[in-house]
Amino acid sequence: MISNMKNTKLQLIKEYINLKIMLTSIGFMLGIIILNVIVNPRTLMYIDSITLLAVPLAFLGLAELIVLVTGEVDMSVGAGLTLANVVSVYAYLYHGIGDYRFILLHLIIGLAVGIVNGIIVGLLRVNSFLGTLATSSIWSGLALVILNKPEGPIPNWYYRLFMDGLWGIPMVIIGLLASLLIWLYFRFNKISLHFYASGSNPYSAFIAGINVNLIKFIAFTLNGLFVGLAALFMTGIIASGDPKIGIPYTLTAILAAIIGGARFTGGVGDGVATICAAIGLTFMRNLIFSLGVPFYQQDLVYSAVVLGLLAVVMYLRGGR
Amino acid sequence: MGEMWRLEGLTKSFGPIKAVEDFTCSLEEGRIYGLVGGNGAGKSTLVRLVTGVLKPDRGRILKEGKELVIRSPKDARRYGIAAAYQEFSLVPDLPVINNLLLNIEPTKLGFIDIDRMIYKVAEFMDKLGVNIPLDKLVRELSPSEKQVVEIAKSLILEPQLLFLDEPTNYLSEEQREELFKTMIEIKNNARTTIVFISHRIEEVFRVSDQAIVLRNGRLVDIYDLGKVSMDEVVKAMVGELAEEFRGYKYVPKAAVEAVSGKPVISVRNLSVNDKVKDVSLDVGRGEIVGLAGLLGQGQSEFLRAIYGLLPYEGAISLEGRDVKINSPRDALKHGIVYVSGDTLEGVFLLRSIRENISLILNLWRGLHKPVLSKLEKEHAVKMIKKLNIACRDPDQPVLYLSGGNRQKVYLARGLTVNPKVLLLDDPLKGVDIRAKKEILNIVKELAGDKAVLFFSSDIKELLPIVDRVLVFFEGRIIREFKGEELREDLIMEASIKGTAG
Repeated sequence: MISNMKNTKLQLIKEYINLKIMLTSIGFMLGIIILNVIVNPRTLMYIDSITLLAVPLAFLGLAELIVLVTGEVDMSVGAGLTLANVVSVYAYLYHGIGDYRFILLHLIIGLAVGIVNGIIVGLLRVNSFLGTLATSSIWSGLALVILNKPEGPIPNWYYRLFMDGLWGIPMVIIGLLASLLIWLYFRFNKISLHFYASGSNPYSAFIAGINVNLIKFIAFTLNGLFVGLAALFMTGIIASGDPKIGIPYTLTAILAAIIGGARFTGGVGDGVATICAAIGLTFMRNLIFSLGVPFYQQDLVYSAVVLGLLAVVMYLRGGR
Repeated sequence: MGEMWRLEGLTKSFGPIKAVEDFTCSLEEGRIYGLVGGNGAGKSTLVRLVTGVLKPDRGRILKEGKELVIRSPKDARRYGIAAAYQEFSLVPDLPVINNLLLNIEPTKLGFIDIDRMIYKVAEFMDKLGVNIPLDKLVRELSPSEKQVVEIAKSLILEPQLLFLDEPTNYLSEEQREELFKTMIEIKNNARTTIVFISHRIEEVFRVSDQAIVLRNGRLVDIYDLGKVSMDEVVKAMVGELAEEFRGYKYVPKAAVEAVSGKPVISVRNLSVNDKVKDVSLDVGRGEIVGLAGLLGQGQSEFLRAIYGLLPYEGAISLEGRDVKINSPRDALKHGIVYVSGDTLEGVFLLRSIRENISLILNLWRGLHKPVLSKLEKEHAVKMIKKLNIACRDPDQPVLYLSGGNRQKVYLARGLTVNPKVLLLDDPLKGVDIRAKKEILNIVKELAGDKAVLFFSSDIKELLPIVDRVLVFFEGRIIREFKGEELREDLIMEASIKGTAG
């Protein structure tokens, strides 16, 4: 009986961290990195700065995942990131808010964006695809009104943070570790089970006494927090406010979550796998660059590859 | 002892249909009540009203004389009310253990306390004598394992009022015995009040102390099962023969007399998963065969299999020729048409009546050829007249039609191909009285050169037009009624008693 229980515990933890999908995703990540190194051995020298580029995408992937798990989708993560970036830089440039409030502002805008989406989807019961597509346009439009072209700089101490790291620890480590810890905190928290239950079968969740609409609202709020964190890293990386920075990230973030096991029908998906997928996708972008694709064709090639990957993942899963 | 729970004047309507009407009854602690009644008697609705899944239009629920405020299943849980539902309330993507403890997970500082979780459930399942791997995802379980988890999920809450809605459906003989033992144990030890629903009437008699009989959403009476016989309870469920059918005399139809040796459709040993078992039947030209029985006894699956919607084993032959039907397209090619009572499945609400009716008019014409809108319109107008579909014009979207007229549109489409075999799957259920009569008349008129299989959950409606009635029970045909035997009370009795009768 005791050994049986130990075994059950092990199996359960395996189920919670979704070992199979996690290993697939790690495989995808390592495969792309190795391919990168083969094509261009100099990649190894820049491996930290390329990985740093993956941090915002990792957070956006988690933002997308947490909503997909509950059976909804968020088309506005890229635009939300842009708004948080632009508003914060604007506040520094024109209102001198350059102390710790500069960080706080990113998170507040992210949260606000998430809460608005949460109200629209969770409380007003608007279809999440349409609702967030609409808010996406609004955030982008708003960002353009605030800054109509890329502007800088950002506070010097924040810029140095990304150059020198925090207490000597590079920001890429801090970013990945933070995303990992936040995810695991969520996954082993009671509420995550209610997220998965609400997405897997809302009616059953309701019968078990779970307020499904409230869960969706909370999911979008947490999603907003992740968007804010993503923006924080994006600002540090580009060291400016850019009203066009986030748009292409929405599709990539969805792809990261899908490779991380999520489905549009909800109820499944893993965060660690999503983070690995985000790193893999970032290196893929680098790979396309390394292969010598001309600058103006990179978007085209990258998007085509993303679409192809999406099709492959969907096809492989279709069998089940 | 004494009264523990009281349901007072519970009433619930769905549109014009009164599912439960003015239901009042008292339940004592430490007792098992069998809740029985025919199709549409309101059993499952009653369960949902008490567990907070549905809101009653009127009425209240009292516990020890105090009125309870039940706005959601969450509230009901708090008052010690739990249920195992007929259609299950499980989450497919979570492991068994998290389904059992959904929303009552033990935590340590907000984290899931996996040790305590496993300890609690392992002990509980041990006591129940159930052996299902706790870490397995529910989506990977067999139907009988799911049923066990659904029951265990309600028991682990240690409820004071427990509803078991058809809990024995997927259970084996031994598992059933195990369940009855458990029920009697918690009734005696935990003084739980149990309300037990089963289509197997002999089970209800075995474990229940009293039987609550429902008919058409109303309480008929509560019987002490020690004192009455099974026949008396069944009589109460069936009720008096309906007024309009009391004088009904069977009249052999001329058309049927003409049915000669060769049947139009002949089905041999047809099985569908666990739902239909070894069903064989023949239907002759001009014959209307009614399918009866309680809901969910395999009638729908049987008809859907013949139309190619479900994979089947067994043989189907049409006019002596063996055919294999893999899809509705195959079925249509052979002149088999299926019309169900689920109009949402059958019609395209936003498209016009004309398009809905004429959809399969040009089924074999090739995709690249243009739509013959004139022909379509002529055909639609003809059918609208024939079936007396109430509408402004043929181009009106079906959305604006009443339930009865939507059903007629669905039927009209089926008739487009002039089928040899017409399969009707409870098409009268959401339809008003007038449309019901009209549809019955149309079927009767059209049957001349067709074979008709007609399932109705309310068999008395069919009696005026059918030649034979076959009663389904747990996937098999258990009785055939014809001639003078075609009486509602006899058929109902056979349906309820099943193989016990």
